[in-house]
Parts: sequence; structure tokens; C-alpha cells
Amino acid sequence: MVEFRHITKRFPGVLALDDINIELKPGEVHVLIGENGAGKSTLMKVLSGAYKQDEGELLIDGKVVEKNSPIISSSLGIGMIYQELNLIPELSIMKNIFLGNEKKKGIFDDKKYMYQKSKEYLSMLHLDIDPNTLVKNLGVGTQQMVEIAKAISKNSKVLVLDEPTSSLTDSEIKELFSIIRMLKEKGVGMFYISHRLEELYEVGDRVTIMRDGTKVGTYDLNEIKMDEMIEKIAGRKIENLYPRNRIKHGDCVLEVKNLTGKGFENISLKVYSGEIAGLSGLVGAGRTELARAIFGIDNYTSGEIFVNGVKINKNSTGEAVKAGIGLLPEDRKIQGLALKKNIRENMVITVLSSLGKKGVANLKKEKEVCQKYVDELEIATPTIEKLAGFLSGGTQQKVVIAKWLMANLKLFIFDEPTRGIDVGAKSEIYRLMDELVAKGAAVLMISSDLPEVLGMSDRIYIMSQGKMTGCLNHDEADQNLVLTYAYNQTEEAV
Amino acid sequence: MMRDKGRIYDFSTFFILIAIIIAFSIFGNSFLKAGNISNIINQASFLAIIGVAQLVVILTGGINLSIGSIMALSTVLCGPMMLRESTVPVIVPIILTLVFGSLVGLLNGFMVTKLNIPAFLATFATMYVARGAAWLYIGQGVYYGIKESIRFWATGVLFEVGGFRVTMPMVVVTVFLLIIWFVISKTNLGRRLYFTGSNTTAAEFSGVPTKRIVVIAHVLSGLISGIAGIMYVARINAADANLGTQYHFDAISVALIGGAVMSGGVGSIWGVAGGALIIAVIQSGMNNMQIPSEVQKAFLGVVIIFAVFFNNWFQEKKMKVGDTQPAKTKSEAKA
Amino acid sequence: MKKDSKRSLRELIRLLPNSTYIFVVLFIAFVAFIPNFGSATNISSLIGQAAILMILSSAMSVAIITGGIDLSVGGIVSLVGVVMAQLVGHGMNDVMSILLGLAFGCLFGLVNGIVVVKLKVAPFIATFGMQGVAYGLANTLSDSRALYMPDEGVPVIKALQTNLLEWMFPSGNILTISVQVLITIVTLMLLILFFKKTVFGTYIYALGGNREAAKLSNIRTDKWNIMVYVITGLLASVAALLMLLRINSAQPTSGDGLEFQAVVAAVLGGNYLAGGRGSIPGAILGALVVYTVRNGLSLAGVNANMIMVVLGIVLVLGMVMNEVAVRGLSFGDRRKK
Repeated sequence: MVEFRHITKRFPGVLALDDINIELKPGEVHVLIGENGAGKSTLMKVLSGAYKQDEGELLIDGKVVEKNSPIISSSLGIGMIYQELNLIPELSIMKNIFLGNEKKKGIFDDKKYMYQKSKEYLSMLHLDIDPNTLVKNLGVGTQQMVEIAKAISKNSKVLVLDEPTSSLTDSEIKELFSIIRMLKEKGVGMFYISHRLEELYEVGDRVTIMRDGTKVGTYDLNEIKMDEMIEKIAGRKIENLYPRNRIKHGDCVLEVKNLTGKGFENISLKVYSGEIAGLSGLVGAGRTELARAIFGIDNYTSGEIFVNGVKINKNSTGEAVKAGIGLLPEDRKIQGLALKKNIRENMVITVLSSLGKKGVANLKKEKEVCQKYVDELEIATPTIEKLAGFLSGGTQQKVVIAKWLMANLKLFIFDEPTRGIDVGAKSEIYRLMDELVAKGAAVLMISSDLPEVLGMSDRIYIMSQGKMTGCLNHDEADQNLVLTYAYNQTEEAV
Repeated sequence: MMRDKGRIYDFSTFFILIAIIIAFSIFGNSFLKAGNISNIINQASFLAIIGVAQLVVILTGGINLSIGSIMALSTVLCGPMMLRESTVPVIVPIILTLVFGSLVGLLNGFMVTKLNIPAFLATFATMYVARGAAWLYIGQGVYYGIKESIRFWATGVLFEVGGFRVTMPMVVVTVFLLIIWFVISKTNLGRRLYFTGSNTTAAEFSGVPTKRIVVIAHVLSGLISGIAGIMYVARINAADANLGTQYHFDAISVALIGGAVMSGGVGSIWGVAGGALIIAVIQSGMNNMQIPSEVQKAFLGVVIIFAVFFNNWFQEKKMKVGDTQPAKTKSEAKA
Repeated sequence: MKKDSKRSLRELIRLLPNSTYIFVVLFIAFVAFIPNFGSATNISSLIGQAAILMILSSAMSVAIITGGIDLSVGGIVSLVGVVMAQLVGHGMNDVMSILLGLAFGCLFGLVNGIVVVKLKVAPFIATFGMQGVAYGLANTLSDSRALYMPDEGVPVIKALQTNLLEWMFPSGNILTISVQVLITIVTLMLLILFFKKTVFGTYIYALGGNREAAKLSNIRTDKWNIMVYVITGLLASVAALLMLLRINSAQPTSGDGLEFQAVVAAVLGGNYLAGGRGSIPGAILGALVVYTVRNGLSLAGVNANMIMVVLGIVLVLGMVMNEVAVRGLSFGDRRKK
């Protein structure tokens, strides 16, 4: 029904998809699996028309799709069901199902027809709700069903389900699976993306494993075992990209005690001076949420945070910086830099008070300090007055790092420090992190890149679905073990 | 010396100014006389103050629609003390006016940061509340006959050179602009203000207390509105509740023509000075051509819309120009 | 399909906008405590005054649900009134004048929409600028003077000014229902009908609730967004006509401050300023609340300026109330970029 032929997609500095060939058969549930950034979502965006492939062709029903767009793909029978729901909360189920596709009688809506049809679709999904119910009054699971009903109403022959179970309860998941089976019988083909391995065996027919934008292979789910699959998901040699001089760690810098907040539960961890602590897990495991709470961006409901034994206050980044914590955010363009401001202004924002005298900025000193860091980090720019928005990804990341280096911190939290950065810049950032801990700082590194976590960390904390599931020393950790904890498969797989 | 081609866009205000001056000198023959130029600069001085009151809030990504109302309320409350027959020392009503202005600004800041109300609606409410309060206080009356020592600041003429009169407002505003320029460009507070406006999230991620900064911007705006109130009251020799009913309009025009971008973080004091000159030139030019003031307001409305559009467009262009320049290392750039 | 009547009544109560309760409570309190408030004469004048604001607040509601706002409605009321009066003054047939006035209002709204959608100027600043334009034009076209309707040659306008019903109470109070009230009712009914029964209402919510989803569903969001401002322009022109009929003249200042009251009324009616939520009936009741407050307080001898202060505070409270209502919902947490 859908065929990807030699699909290649490049983003600046990254090869996101490299010669992918996948075929979806009618009535098949085709699972896509791989680490974050393996290319699953990019591939699905090529299918939906949100991205255009650089090379290769996309076939739907045996015909090459020359020009694609979300509207075209939907008219060709591709239905996308995103994690983030695409419903209008203030409208009824019926109106959502027929949004943009209303049946009219003259200028007025043909409510009777739409009501009847909606009722049909809903009962097809075993849902006994009045189609006039407003979507905002439904639970997340039911909302997802409405999305599916919407796809059915458009006669979709192919559905893409992106992490459909991530916010569902167990009974809702059961309901969803029975619907998936029912759709299969009707000949609907489905791409199914999920991080929960046990689910795959329940609903999937075949699985395609992806890694770093390439396809590892497509397997029949009857023939591949779970531990084999985990191995293939990771399956990379650790290159000698990671310059670590491991030293004996010093005192405890950060201690988090029983922290609970939105997205994480009862988390305790310690980071010592002179060490890099990795924080691994899958997307949505609650790592970023935890980091944000530690840094004072978001509030938390219970628990305590200590820096060098001193308790720090909730919900104030100013307080966190004063205590010596800095966070290098995940999204550097939105959270890390003011793109309209120049390098100098971005760098010194964290240290304004210490550079200037009595609240007056000292431009000369600022320039000196910035130039020093620009030289030291080899930031590629003709002048420190260049706007941050003009810099490349790696250079931007270096500016964000420089801004925290200046602040003389005790603890650096790196959230995905090398995402979207080319290999050369990556190794420089690793070298920097190593130097930092050598000088006695502590680093907490959140990363979804397994080899990076394994290569850089002294200890590795692993989270899964908001909970801490494991802590490994670097000498006992390997890829399979970390993934096992991350997929929270400790009982079944080990 | 132009390091970035994008920098050209920073000077757009002055290009507009020159174009408009040329246009008016062609249409109106008395336009370029010294006396007229002096009048224009004098008028621009007043506009520059309210423009700056607007700028400090726009820099944070907000807007202040209540400037005119704050001017009226703060001066009316102190009106009796500013009258000639009052025995209270001059400094008292002046200080009090600034305090009242700041308090209203604090209220605005509180609504924006604590109650999460968008700035334009919070200050929209204040615009009516403060004006209503001013009317409540004074009724339909007017405090007429302001002390000479206050009037001097707004009406005094220092000396005259070939028909060009150097007036007190010019001096006052020059000093005022220098002070504010220092505050927002040279101090840590100002730097944080700009940074918060350019990217509030990044500012928060850098440990900047963004909410406090926004409150301070609103307080500063209220304070400057108080200063503007005193200057206007001194000029018209009366304090009444109808002062500046349309000044929020002028203030927005001045700031926007001065290159301020509505989304925040972009705009400068000298841009506002240029914006004030442009508006003053337009007003004077239109007065010369005997265009009624109502049409002038309609014109300002159009000016505001296009200023927003062009500033956004300039900003986008500026970012694009830079984007096409490949990043060079230091050694390459020197070669 | 049939539910027991108790349940449906409870559901009906749940569906009522918050402004209903405020209105009912205020109304009863005012009738009880303010002498003359409940008199037929006063109620008649209250309805007559509120009619104009009801139309404006429902227009505001439409704009707010899409996530925009229209601050130019007050200006349009002044401007369109002046345009109609000038056309009549120049000897044009009154029906033609009214129709041209309405068309002019639509045109003005079209410009608003184009500025918002095509020039990408934020709605509040775009319509704020256009308000200045409307004010300037209204003053220019009228020479800043009131333009009175002639006594003869305007049969339709005279007809529209008559009363449908005059009921003399034994106490001497007169309850009057005028044609203007009829126009208001018909306009609002039509608006609600289109809102409920055609794609118009659906798309308005889609624009404000999730514009990306609307685009993915093949809705031409730009076209509909411009349409919204044309409709607010048209509704404001109808309000201008009502104003003209009421005061038998057009004044370049007649719309001053109406946009503020319309925002207050819409916010009181539960229209959430980030868009996607709110209702037209809520805004209509909000308008009643605003006029009940104005009328009641002024009968109670409260200074007119104090009333403005009160309305400003009411606006802030209303916005806080809506914010709380939204945050309580599960949908409220969706982060916007």
C-alpha cells in the first residue's frame, strides 16, 4: 500500500534518512522502532508530506507521489494520529470528525447525516458516546479514538500511530488494540511507532529497526526475540570519540531527595565533583522535566534539592544560578540564546553583576572576557558582535556553553548537548566537558545518544516513565543493560 | 566599516526622516525656516518623552495603552500643589507625581506578571480606570495657573540664534534621553531588559528574574509618564483630567517609527528620538498644509500599522542577510 | 434519545454562560435596592441602550474566539453613522444610504482583516491603528459636528424609529419596545443561527482552538480569518444604524469607548482571550451586565466616572476568572509556542 524506495533526507549537518526501503502491506501492523533521532518520525513526516525527501520516491497504492503535502497525503488515504492530538476542544465529536469536510444542505450543515455517520464510526470503534459531546469533556484515550474515527471518515487506508499508548491507561490500551485488530481485518495498513516493546508483540506483524537514519532490517515479529531486538536497536561500536580521563570523584555537589513533580516521581540522585553523571532514558521518561525542576524553571510538589549540602529554594532560576547550577537547555534556539542579540550580549547575561560595577555594565571587560572564551573555545566568528541567529548549530552551542563557563558553576546540567551538531563540534564539546570535571566541577548529562552516555559518564542513572529504574557504574554498564532499564524490562528480559 | 550588511536596517528611522523632510520642504515653502525647525524640535521633545515611556514596555514585548491616563491622573492628584497660590515647595508635587505614576505602572506590571493578563488588555483597563479616577477627583474643573518655576521647564527660551530658539524642553529632553539611554544600554538592568524582551525563555534559563524585569519596565513607564505629565501640564498651564486622551496613540507611533519591534528586544532611545522628530515633522507639515487634526490622527493610525509591518519585515530581512554570510574564523576575516 | 426532564434542565443550567448568574443576581439586587430601577420606563431604556452593546459584544466575541480582537468597533460605529447621515444629507434615498453604510462597514472590516492576515500585524495593534483611522475619517466627514436626520424624506428611518409596543402601567410607567429592539433580536438570531448551523461557527472555534489542525483539515484559515473581521465590521455597522436611530443624529464621537465596553462584556461572557473558547450568548448577557451596572449605579447616584473605574476593575476580574476556568480544564495545559 505504501512503499518507501531509497528515501534519503538531509538536514544541515545531519543525514536524517539514508536510503530507506520499507513496504507496508494491506492489513499489516508495521512497527517502527529505534532510539530517539533514529529517523522514525522524519520518515513518517515524509509520508505525511510535512517533509520532502531529497532522494528516492514514495509510492502510495503503487503510484509514485510526485508532489506531497499534508492535504494531498490525506486525500490519498493516509491518516496521521499524532501524539499531540489535533482536535478542537470546544467542538463536538461530530464536528471534529467532519472538520473541513462538512456535509452541507444548502448553506446549512446537514447535521442529521453527520450525526448518523459519526454514530456509525463511533460504534465501529465500540464507543457508545453521543457525537454531540464536546471533545474537551473526553479523556485522552477517547480523544485518540475520535482521531481514529476522523481518519476512518476520510476513508484512510493507511494509519500512522505515533506513540499512541503513551498517555493511555491499561484498559484504554486494551481497547485500542482491539480496534487495531478490527481495522486490520478491514485491510487497513498501519505504521506503529512505540517505545514499549511488550506492546509490539501484542499488535505488530513486522518490525523495522532503525538506527542513525539507516534501516537495520525488517523482521517478522514471530521470529525475533526481545533481547535480540534491543541489541539491534543499540548495535553500535563505541568509537574512540570520547576523550575521558576518569578521576576519583570528590564531594557531593548536588543531592536530590525524593523529588516529585509533573512528569517524574520520587527521584533521588547524587552528583559528585569531578564526575560526569549520565541521565539516560527514552523520550518522555521525565529527564528534562527533572532537570527543569532542579534548575528552578518548573515547580515540584515534594522533595528537596541540596547544593553542597545547602538546600535551595523552589522555582527560581536566579536562586539556582546563585547556588552554582547552570542548565544547557535542550532547545538552544528557544531556551539557550536570544537570536536577535549578539554573541557578547548572550554570553555575559549570566555574569553581568560580577563583571560590572554597581550595576553599570563594563563593556571593555565584557569584550575582553568574551574574546578570551571565543579564542579558547575556538568559536568560529569574525567578531563577538555577530548576532547569535547567524551562527551555525555547533557554534551556537559553544556560545551557550561559554555563557555558563563564565559563571563559575559547581554543577553543569547538559540537556542533549550534542543533538543536531556535526561530529567535529561534538568531540570538542566532549573535550570541554572532560576539562570541566577535571577542574572539579560536576556534570549531569542528559542524553538519548547511548554511545555518548556510555562513553562519557562515570555513572549512569536511567529513568523510565517518570521513575528512576537504575543506576550503573561505567564499568558495569553496556548498551543492552542501559536499554533494558530504559525500556523497564528488568524482569522479563534479564 | 559596515561589519554586517544587516546593520543598514538599524538606521531606517533616519532614512525615513530625511525622506519626509525633503517631501515637506518641496510642498511647503516655509518649512525649512529656522523658527519652524525650532518649533518642530521643541514639539518633538515632548513626544520623545512619551515615546520613551512606551519604548521601555515594548522592549519587554508588551505595550502600554495607559500612558495618557497616567499623565492625567498623576498630575491631577498633585494639581492643587502646583498652582501659583500654593505654598507647598515645588519639589513636593513633582516627586509625588512621579510616585503616583510609578504606582500605576506597578499595578500594570502586577496584572501582567501575576495575573497573566496580556499587557495590552491590562493597560487597556488601566487606561479607563485611571482616567475615570482622574475625573472622579477633579470633576469637570481645571486647575489653572501653574507656578512659574514649573512652567519654566516646559516653556522657557534660553537663547536665540538666527531665529532658532533653544528652549528648555530641548535641554530637559536631551538630559532625559541621556539618562535613560545610560540606564537601558549601559546598566545591568537595561541589558537584562533587552535580553528578556528578545527571548524571555532564554532569559529565564540564564537566571534572569524575568517577571521582576517586566514589572520594573512597567514602573519605569509609569514614572516617565509622570514626567511627561508634568511637562505637558507646565506647557498648557493647567492640570485637568482630559490631559492626553490621545497620547497613547502618539506614544505608540513614536516608538514604532523609532524602530521598536512589537515582539520585544529591539528598539533604541535614539530611534525614539528620530521617531519623535518624524511625528513632529509630519504634524508640523500637515499643519502647514492646513490638514485638520482629525485627519492627522487617521494618518497616524495608518502609520502605526505600516510601522509594525515594516519593522517586522526589516527584522526578518536583517536576520536573512546575516544568514547568507558564511561564518568565518578570525584569521579568514582578517585576510 | 429522550432524557428525563430533570437531567436536561440541569444540563441546560450547566451550559449557561457564567454571565447569566452575574446578570440575574445583579438584576434582582438592583430591583430590590435601587428605587425606580425595576420600573417599566427604566427597563425599556436599559434594553434600548444595551441593544447596541449586545451587537458589539457578540462581534467582539467572534473575534476573540479566533484568538484575535477588534478594537476598531467603536470607531466603526462613529464612522458608519456619519457615512449614513452624510448620504442622507446629500439627498440619497434612506434605504440606499443604510445599505451603503453597511457595505462601507464591511469594507472597513475587510481592511482590518487584510492588515491582520496579509501584513501579519497583531490584531490588537492593527485594529487599534484602524480605530484611529475611523475616528479621523468620522471627524473629517462630519466636520466634527453632529449631523441631524431631516424631518422629511426619510420614511424608512422614521418607520424604524417607531415603537412596536407601548404599554402604560397604572403607575404611569410606560414599557416601550421599539423597532430597534426588533432589529437587534433579528440580527443576533441570525448571527447565532449561522454560528450554530453552518461551518462558520465550527471554523471560528477551529481557528482559535488549534489553527494547525484546521490547516491540516484543509480549511482555508486565511480566508476565514479575514471573513471574521468583515463580520465584526458588518455587526458594528448595524450597531451604528441603531445608534443613529436612537439619537436621531450621527456624531463623530458616538462610538467612543464602546470597544472597551464590548471587550468587558465579551470577557464577562466567558470569552477567553487566548482564543478557542467562549460563546456569543455569553457575550450578549455580558452586555446586559455592563448596562445593568451602568444604569443601576447611575440611578443610585454614583458618578459616571466611578462607573468607568468599576468597569475597568470588572474587566480585570473577568479575565482572571476566565484564566482560572481554563486552567482548571485538562485541555488548558497544552503549551503554545
